[in-house]
Amino acid sequence: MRTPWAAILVVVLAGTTVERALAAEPGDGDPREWMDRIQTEAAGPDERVEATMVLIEADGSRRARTTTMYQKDIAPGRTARRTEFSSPPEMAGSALLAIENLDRPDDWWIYLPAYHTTRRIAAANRGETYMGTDFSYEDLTDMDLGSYRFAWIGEEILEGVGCRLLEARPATEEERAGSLYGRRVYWVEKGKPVWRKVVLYGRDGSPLKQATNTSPVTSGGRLRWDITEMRDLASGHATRIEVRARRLEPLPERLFTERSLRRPG
Amino acid sequence: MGLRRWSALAVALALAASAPARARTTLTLGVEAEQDRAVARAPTSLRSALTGSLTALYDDGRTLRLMGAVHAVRDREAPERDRIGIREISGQIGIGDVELRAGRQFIRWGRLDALRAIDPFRRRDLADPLDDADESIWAASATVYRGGYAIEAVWVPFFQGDRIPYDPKSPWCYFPGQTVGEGGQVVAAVYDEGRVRAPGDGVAGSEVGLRIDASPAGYDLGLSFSRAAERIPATFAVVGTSWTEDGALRATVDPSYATCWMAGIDGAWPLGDGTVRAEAALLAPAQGDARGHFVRGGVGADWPFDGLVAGRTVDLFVTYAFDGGSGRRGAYVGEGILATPDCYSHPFRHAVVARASMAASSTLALEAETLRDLQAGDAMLSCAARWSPANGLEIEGELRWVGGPDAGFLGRYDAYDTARLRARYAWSTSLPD
Repeated sequence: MRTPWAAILVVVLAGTTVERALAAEPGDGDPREWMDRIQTEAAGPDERVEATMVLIEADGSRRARTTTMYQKDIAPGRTARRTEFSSPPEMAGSALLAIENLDRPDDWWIYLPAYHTTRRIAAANRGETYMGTDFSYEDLTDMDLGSYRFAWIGEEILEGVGCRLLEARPATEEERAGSLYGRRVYWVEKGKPVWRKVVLYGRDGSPLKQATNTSPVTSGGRLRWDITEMRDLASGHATRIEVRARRLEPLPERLFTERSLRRPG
Repeated sequence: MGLRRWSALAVALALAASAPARARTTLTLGVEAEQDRAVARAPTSLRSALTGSLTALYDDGRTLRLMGAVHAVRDREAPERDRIGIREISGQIGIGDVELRAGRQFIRWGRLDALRAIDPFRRRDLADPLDDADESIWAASATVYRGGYAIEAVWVPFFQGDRIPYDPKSPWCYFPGQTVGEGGQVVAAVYDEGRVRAPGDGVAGSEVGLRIDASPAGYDLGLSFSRAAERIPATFAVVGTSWTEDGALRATVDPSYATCWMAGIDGAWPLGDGTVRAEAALLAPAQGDARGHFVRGGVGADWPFDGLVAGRTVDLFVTYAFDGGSGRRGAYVGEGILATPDCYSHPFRHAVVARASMAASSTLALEAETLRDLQAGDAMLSCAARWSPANGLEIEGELRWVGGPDAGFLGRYDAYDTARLRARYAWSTSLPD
């Protein structure tokens, strides 16, 4: 019987990476490398998450949507994400698929059961609101790190937790023109490749939106958050994602194809 | 280890692999009330309908998905729309790279937003053809996902035609409400559907299709092949007449259907902030139909315009479609043949559909759509507002103008500019695991 050395090596290296990430202090290292670690930590292996999206109006009134989100690393550096809505009834069956690409814009498809058809949507249109929430399509995919400049710009205690502030600015003309944001500032928790808060600024420098992560959990050795809230700073409207269940399990690749978005119901 | 033990182990592993991670069962109850009123020349109520529905969905998240939906419709103004029964019932199972799906379902091919050239398994409800509503169809399909390709085979075991209105009181009925009786006087006419002359009985009437989808390098591409029935009758043959007690002529008509071969190609690719879509299909009627082959095609684009109205984004969709089959059925009108509803299967030779939609707020959506027949000059314009004040509740108001020369498909409904009010409420619950 052959010894699965390769598999053992992968496990060891992965553990080493996490340990290094946990041991190192943000601010000590290259900020771009830290953002890479943050995105890598968030991507992770196959994962299925059931969540409730709560849309909160400025007056405090609330509307809930239930979703199932699937995530899979389909190739090194490429993550596929699929989101299905199961309620409210008028949205039930709607689904969205996003596939990250390294050498070209991401692929996006949407399935609306009323039309029984999957439609490709332009990645360039990523600033559009995602299914009526406060997230834009751009908020739901990772940054292309090569198109950004990163810098540590300070430190702050956020709800009793020490954080360092990591700034990201578009570095290419294409990204400056295509992104909703002229600047993003992340509150990176000291010693961990995760952010607790991000403020997203418009191209004119004014703050547009703010996202916060709370209720940290560990799932399959990965750091996760059970509550994420995105707030539109101008309107006061917010979208809160509350995770109800989270599972790491192998997911078939067919789930992450345009054709498979079309399903019964 | 013996074969039996290996088999048991394999079965156990397969079951473990396919064990539901967290299955979900959802029940949805819906009710819809709708009032349609013609508001132009002769104001009259066109539709006064109440619809109830129950949908059940089971999904284990990975392998198995089952759904069933029943509905009941009662329309005081258009009893032909009354129905009670299954709207959709199907199951899908995924094993490895293969997905199997069977039941009464909706199968839509093609990529255009309107007037698709490649859509052989679409079945329509023509009770109001301007509604452009789909009907489900009994079918089975298998899809293999391999190396970036999805290869889907579809089998429709027996013929299922579009729903056609036979009541001449319906503004959408194809047949004339009056005819010339003996002695030359004009009399009312009513129609009964006689024997459906399907393309074939049993397996001979079944339909098949094969579709290959791929999404290489940022665009989508599809190839489609099918041998499918045309769901609009090729002819309506009058096979008997009688007189009703109130002096109307009752005609029994046999609808006769044809079969068509189809080969098509379609694609979609991003262009700037928008997406371009295109389709082309070569169709060849089978079974002795002398119309010969013809081409259908279209191209469309959608584009968002940021900040166009009150700082909101307006999404614009435009589709141009060409149908080389339009007008070809005229040769088949003859003695005993009432007419051929060419207008339903090939309503336009050249047409444009444009739609603009906008989310005015988180609860209000506005939409305007126009369909214009570029050859005959007839057109339709509709404006709709959808307000969703609470989860599950939607109230919709719509105004629809139709006009143009009578020779056009839309022109024939010139008198039916319509105001529509719809209210829907749906409530859903998830059952415990």
